[in-house]
Order: sequence, then C-alpha cells, then structure tokens
Amino acid sequence: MTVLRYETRRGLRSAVIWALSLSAFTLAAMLLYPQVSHYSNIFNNVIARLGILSEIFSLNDMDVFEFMNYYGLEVGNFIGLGGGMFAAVTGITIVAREEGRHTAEFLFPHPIGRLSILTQKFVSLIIQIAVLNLVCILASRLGAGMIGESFPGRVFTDFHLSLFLMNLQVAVICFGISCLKKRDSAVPGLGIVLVFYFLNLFINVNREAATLKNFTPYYYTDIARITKASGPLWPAIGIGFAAAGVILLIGVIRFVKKDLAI
Amino acid sequence: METVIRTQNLTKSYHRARGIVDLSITVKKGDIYGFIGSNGAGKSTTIRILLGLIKSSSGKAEVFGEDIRRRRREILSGIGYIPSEASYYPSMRVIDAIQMSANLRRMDCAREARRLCGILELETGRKVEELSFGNRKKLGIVLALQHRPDLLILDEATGGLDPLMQKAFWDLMAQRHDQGATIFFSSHVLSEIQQHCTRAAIIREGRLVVEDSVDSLSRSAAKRITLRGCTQLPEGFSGAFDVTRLDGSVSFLFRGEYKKLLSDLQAVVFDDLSITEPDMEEIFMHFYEKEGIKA
Repeated sequence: MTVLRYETRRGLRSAVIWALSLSAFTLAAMLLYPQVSHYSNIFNNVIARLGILSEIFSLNDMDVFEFMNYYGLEVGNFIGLGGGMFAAVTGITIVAREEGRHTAEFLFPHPIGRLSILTQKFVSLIIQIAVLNLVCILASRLGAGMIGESFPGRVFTDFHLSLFLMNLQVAVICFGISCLKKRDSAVPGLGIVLVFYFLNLFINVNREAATLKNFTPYYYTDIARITKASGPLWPAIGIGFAAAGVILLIGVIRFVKKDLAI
Repeated sequence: METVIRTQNLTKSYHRARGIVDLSITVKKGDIYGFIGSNGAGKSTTIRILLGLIKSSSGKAEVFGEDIRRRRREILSGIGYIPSEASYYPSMRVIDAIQMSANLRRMDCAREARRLCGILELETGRKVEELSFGNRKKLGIVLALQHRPDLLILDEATGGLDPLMQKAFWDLMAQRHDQGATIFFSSHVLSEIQQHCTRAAIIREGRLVVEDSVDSLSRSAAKRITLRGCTQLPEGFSGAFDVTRLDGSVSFLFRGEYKKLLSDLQAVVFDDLSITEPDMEEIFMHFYEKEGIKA
C-alpha cells in the first residue's frame, strides 16, 4: 500500500484546493439564490427571450427557480466542469508522470509488480475524486443551511451520485490514456473534458443528435434529465463506463508489457 | 562458482536505434564486474533489461539463475540499483524517500539507512528538490544499499561525487563485497575499473568486444614500450601502434613476439628501454579501436 499512501498524500492537497475553489463558487451561487428567486418573473422573461441559449443549458425543460433545479444548473456547471477537469488532470498524469519526470527509474526497480502499482494509483485517484465530491457536497449543505433552504433528499443524492460517476468515468478514461503516454502533460485530459462538455451542449440544441449521448458523461449529469427519469440515467452510465473500461483495459495491458521510457 | 548474472545472445532492437546485439556475459558470485563502454554503447540498455524495466528483443537474461521476465519481483528483492541520473519525487524529504523505498521492499532498514547517511554525510531532513546532483547520487547509494542486497548494479555510480565521497563509496563497496555481495559496475571511468574490479567486459556499439579478468585483460593487451634516447623505430618494424614521440623518446604499444621485438630493436640506438603494463585507458582503446594504428 506504499504507492497508494504516497499518491493519496501527494494528491489530497491538490484535491482539497480544487474542492475549496469549487465550493466557494457553489456557495456564492447559492447565496445569490434568494435574490434570484425574488426576481424570478424578470428572469423568466429573460430566459424566454434567450431562444437557443435556453435550450443549450436546458433552461426550457424545467422551472429554473425551483431551488433544486437552480442548484443543479449552477452546481452542475461548477462541479461538473471543475470536477471533470480535476479528474482528467489527475488521471492523465498519475501514471505518465513516472516516465515523464524520470521517477520510473526510482519506483520500478523495486520488487513490486506494475499491475500492483497501477492498482494502487487507481485507488488513490478514486479516493481523491471522492474527497473532492464530498467537500463540495458538504459546502452545498452548508450553503443551503445559510439561506434556509433544504434539498429534496432523493434528487440531491441522485444528482451528486451522477456527478461523482461522471468524474469517475473521466478519470477512468484519462487513467487508461495515461498508461499509454510517456509525457505527463495534462492538456489532452483537459481537451477530453471540454469535448465532453460541449458535446452535451450540442446534444441539448440538436435533439436529433441524441445518439451522441453515450459519448459524453455530461449527458447523465443534467438535472432536468435526472428529475425526469426519477433517478440516475443508468443505461447511459453503463454504456459510458463500459467504453471507459475498454480504454482502461487497453492502457493497463499495454503498460504492463511495455518498455519503460527512462 | 555460482552465477549471479548470465546473458545469452541478448539483443535489444529499437525502431531506429541499435540497442545491444548478441550480448553474452557472465557475472559470478563475488565478482566486482566492470562493464565498460563509451556513451551509447549499450551499457544502460543491458542494465535496464536486467532490472526488467525493458524487455529484450531476443536472447536470455538471468539473474540469480532465474529469468528476469518470469521472476522479476523475486529477483529485484535481491538487487540494489544506483542509476546514472537518478530522479526522485521532488517534494519528498530525503528521509521519506528512504522510508518509501524500504516500505516498497517490506523491510525495516532504518538502522542501516541511518548508518549510510552518516557515512555519506547526507542530510535526511532536506527535500529532494533542494539536493545537488552529488547529494542525489548519495541518496541513490543509500537506497541501493540499505536493504543489504546480494547484487549491486551500479550505473555510473560515482559521477557527481567528490574524491572524498568516491573513496567513501568504494570503501562501502569493499565492505559489501567482503560480506558476499556481487557488484556489477558500469562505467567509462577506466581507472576505477582497473583499481576496483576483478573482472570486466568491454562493449562497443552494442556488441561484446571482450570479457575476462582485469588481470588477463591487462596481460592480453599490448605492452607499453618506451625507448629513451631514440625517436625513430626501425624500418619495417611491425606490431607497434599508438606511437608517441616526446622529449627524445619514443613510446608505443606493442603486441607480438618479444623475441622478434628485441631483435628488431637492435637496428636502432637507444639509451634505455622500459616495458610496462598498459593502463586501463590503453587496454580499452586497444580493444575498442576498430583498427590499430600501425607504426
């Protein structure tokens, strides 16, 4: 468990910094809610005139001034995009870093299998993402308490479970790619997240492009869709994880067999 | 005697570059084995195959009588490795890196690590990113020795160490050797090989040139002949190369029959004659040059 301990200790600081930043945005958005809801009539008129923009952000599918919907939209953007970026950056560098920064020559001559190293790094990645999500959830609870609102338990749980799974799916994909890379650049990870994010916006506008829904995990974090389905969108989640699992498997098999670049 | 390292026709081909070709070497238990070659000759490639960091294209690599591909973990638990340019986790403190390495080996090496840090004057509270190249090398030495391995694989291990630390390093190696450790020492500092190694191999462009005891290599190589009071060699004189002329003397490496040498030298006048063993540099060049320079 030495690698797990090291990676987690090393990554937690970064996870907490990301989580606190996202929590600050979340809290700010929540503290604005009483004022926003007070002027809901004005905002509704504005949204009605947004046209395609309201479709892009799924504003026309629900009452955006209902507390959970407002929270889902705002937090969906902050934690969804920010959490996805954290998962991508951490996932895509966690393995490739060893070769990219030449520390592979320290770690791998030890009597420990490559598969064991990968497993420990992967578990550490999950722990870091879980911590980030947990801190954000606690901040949300705190924010709700501060403005005297409460979350509908089931939808809140489904929504955050979907966000966590989305982070995890991004992490699985990026971890798999990290096994194939020799340099620890985070740019490809950020690119992947942005493609996923904008693909979901594209699907929102072009309903006929719904077949693309399985290509972006952001699809199943949409609060309107979760509310409509009365729970997480398991088919989309399942397909997404199956695809991510294939990438992970290819990466792990390749890493275990490949020559380490030192 | 028990064989610790054996490679048989070991070959590593890269897409564009040559790695090593048909390399067959044998390191016996208790050897201090010098592995000599210029930069890019294939020394590090060989070492990385022995450590299971890269795979050979063909041939066999055995350590402790086991195939490195099949028993990598067991083999690595008996090896201490000093890389030529070691990189460690930069934000880690020295003591944490030492502890992490011991943990990865599931051993408590604290006492030996403290002793080694004391000898090498390594400050354990500093962060790795603050260490100079020489101090990182010292850390590498502690990491390689703290678990008292049976085999030490050292890749340019003394580079970056000052002369005092080099002496401390070789004292430690001598201690470990006395305790039964086998040492595989890759270097292009030939004087170190000659001074400390019992056996050596010379590798050139990925191929083994020669493997023998350092004594035999010295004997089998040419002798350095110096004639004082004379600057010309007899006409038609053969067997001499690396001829240098300085201050009224001529010096050359000679390989051939000594009876004929003495007979040929009767044709020139000289004041003094000396025949000495060549130094490691000359042995290396002797085996390394594609063609000897004829006098």
